[in-house]
Amino acid sequence: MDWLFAYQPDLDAICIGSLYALSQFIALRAGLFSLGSAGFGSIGAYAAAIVGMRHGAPLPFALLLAVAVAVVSGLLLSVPLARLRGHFQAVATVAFVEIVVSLALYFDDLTGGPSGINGIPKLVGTGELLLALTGMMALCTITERTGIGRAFGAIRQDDLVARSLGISVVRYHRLAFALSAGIAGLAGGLAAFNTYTIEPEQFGFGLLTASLGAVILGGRGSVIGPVVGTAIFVLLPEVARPLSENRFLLQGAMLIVVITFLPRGIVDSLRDRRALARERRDSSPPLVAARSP
Amino acid sequence: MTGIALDGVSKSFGGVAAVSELSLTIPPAHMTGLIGPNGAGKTTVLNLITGIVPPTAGQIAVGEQDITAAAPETVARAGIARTFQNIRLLREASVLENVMVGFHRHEETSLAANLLGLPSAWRERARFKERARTMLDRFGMSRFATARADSLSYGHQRRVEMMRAVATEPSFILLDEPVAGMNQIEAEEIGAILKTLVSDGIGILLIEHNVSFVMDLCSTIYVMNTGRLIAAGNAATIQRDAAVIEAYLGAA
Repeated sequence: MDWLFAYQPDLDAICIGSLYALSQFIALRAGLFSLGSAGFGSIGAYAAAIVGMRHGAPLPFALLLAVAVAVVSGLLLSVPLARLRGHFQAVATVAFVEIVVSLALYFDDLTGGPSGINGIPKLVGTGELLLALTGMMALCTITERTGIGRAFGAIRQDDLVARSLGISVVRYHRLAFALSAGIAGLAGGLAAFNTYTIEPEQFGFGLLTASLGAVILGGRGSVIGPVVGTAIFVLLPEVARPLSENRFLLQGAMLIVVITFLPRGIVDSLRDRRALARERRDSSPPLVAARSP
Repeated sequence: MTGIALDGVSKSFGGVAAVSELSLTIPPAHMTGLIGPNGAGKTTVLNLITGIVPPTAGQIAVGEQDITAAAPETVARAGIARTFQNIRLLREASVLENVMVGFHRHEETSLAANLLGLPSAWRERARFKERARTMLDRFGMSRFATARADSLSYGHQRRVEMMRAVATEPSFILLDEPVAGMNQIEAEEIGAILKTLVSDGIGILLIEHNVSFVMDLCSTIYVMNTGRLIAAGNAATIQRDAAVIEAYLGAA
């Protein structure tokens, strides 16, 4: 069991990273090019840390507040962004992430400024993180398989077809913003009570690219993809210790290789290959006439 | 429900008039044809009705409801479904899933029930799946239920798009070249299906290049040329009309 303890920080990092990746995943499933997960994570983390530390709120309340505040900011952000599509949406949400970082730096009375909030009690362990991740994976899977998933799929694949079938893109994008923000807010709240400390820069462009990268690397067809992608990003520097100094170089190189050779991500590309192989096996005419028993 | 009515509808794109002062009616439970040479403005008419482009002038109404420049989803909810000239399917989805999306307008489960995965959400999914299968049967497409939409032949993709439109249970269906690229037998099969839709009370607008297909099926035919209506009437009238002959064959 000792080896498990040695890797516990990695497991924690995988759980939290996977939650951010799921937040990114659910937005993309709805054809929403939001890259705002890092910003919602920041909002959730600060909300939870402030009520938990300064006002002594119990953990469940702090986490609930983290989700609620993030969802509300997601809904607010969805109003001006409803007019934008595609890469314009992406650019606007990148700006949102940078604005959140600046606000966290600026309002130092509330957020502690550049040094952040430190000495947060560690109330969240691996068990709680695994529970949260399982719960959010279930939420995303249910969403995908019910009417919401059908509407998301239609909007993602052809916005105009969706509208001509009576699907309100604005309404479903608002929902996707709320879901994406809520999951990221939960991730931020959990991270605050898992890592003792939060500071503004940890929720910046780095987290944004890590969340998006994990989804691209793992695959965006099912909830497994983002989790696999995150696990690879977290474990890679551990496996290739000599290269861990150049972690970002390694991540970037991996992304380029995967996008080039497995454009649908590791999980989905492997699934496609297996399905294709099965199809070939089933449909290929037998070379020798089958001997009847 | 008195039909779809266009009254003096015009549309210009940067000074070029695509449609000029067009008035026509699409009655329920009938097949109405709209023909004309390339560039006559037929597809623009369809885009004007379905709210994809707003008209520069004129009024469009369905029954009592004014749908001039309404959003596409509003037009869909008013009971008007359409297909596209360049087939637009959800390519990654199966045939069955493509048809199921069409039922969206009739979804009764709340967002919350869907998010929580309550039994009502799964029951609705099962119900839609069943209805989609019935639809596939009707269109002779059952054996393609699980095939990916983009793996089908052109003619079959057109059928999937038509099934998706019918799934919205519309009062009107606007079809943009439904038999383009199909052979005679396939076109006849589609014609037979369209007749059953009309007998169900659905009003159909048929835009086609295949003039004989339109002549066989439509009770009223409108002919357009360079954005203007040049003739209207039944097949026999249209065939004798001097302006129509000139538009199609050139001046004698």
